[in-house]
Amino acid sequence: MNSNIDVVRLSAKDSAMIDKFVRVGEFQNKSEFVTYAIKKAINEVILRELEEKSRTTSPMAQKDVDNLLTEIKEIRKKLWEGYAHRIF
Amino acid sequence: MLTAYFDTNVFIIGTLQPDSNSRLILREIKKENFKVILSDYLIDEVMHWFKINKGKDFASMERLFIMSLPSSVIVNDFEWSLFIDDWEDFVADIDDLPHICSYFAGEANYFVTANRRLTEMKIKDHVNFMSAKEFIENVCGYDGIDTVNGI
Repeated sequence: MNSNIDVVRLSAKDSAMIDKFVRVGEFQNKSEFVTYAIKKAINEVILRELEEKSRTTSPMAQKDVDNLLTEIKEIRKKLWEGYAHRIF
Repeated sequence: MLTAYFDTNVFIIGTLQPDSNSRLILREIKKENFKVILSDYLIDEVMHWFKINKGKDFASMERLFIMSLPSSVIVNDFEWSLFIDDWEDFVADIDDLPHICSYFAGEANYFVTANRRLTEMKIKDHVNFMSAKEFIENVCGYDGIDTVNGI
């Protein structure tokens, strides 16, 4: 697996807290905790940004939902051709 | 832990519609009260839709969002294709099959979708389909938002 080693400065309090989580078995090691925390933070920041971008969107009517489902269906049909070629 | 498979429409609507049950689901995922089953096919669909309708940058951000979902597992085409023979006779549209097979491969408890056509196929007797609103009310345990198709 490709991975980078980054040095992160933690406060003594935070570091001790993470050690405690590791000791009680919540995480296998400190690295696992940091990876978990970063993934959560990335997800939260992106969701906030996506929410910001769609803040003024008006509610979807039935025809909008139907159009969306039709668009997805078109994409699905095309994708299936590619996948089917690989699988069978 | 409860496990759910969310259809493409949930991710698209959840991203774009502030007052929707699909948006509530995206927020609920963060709490990690249930595991999310994803598939390569699902991610491809979401990405294609965003690329076509919102541009490459938006699509990349959506991809990053999906890939960083906590408590998620991705089922790949090798894994879901193992279930095709078992379920192909239950699905009218063959292109829906990867989603159904991913649901089974991921041992999901719920399949959340706004796609009524899918929920009316023969497969409905074997898959626990529900709308985003039903998921919020029955699984998350609070009142959903009144929307078209419970999106």
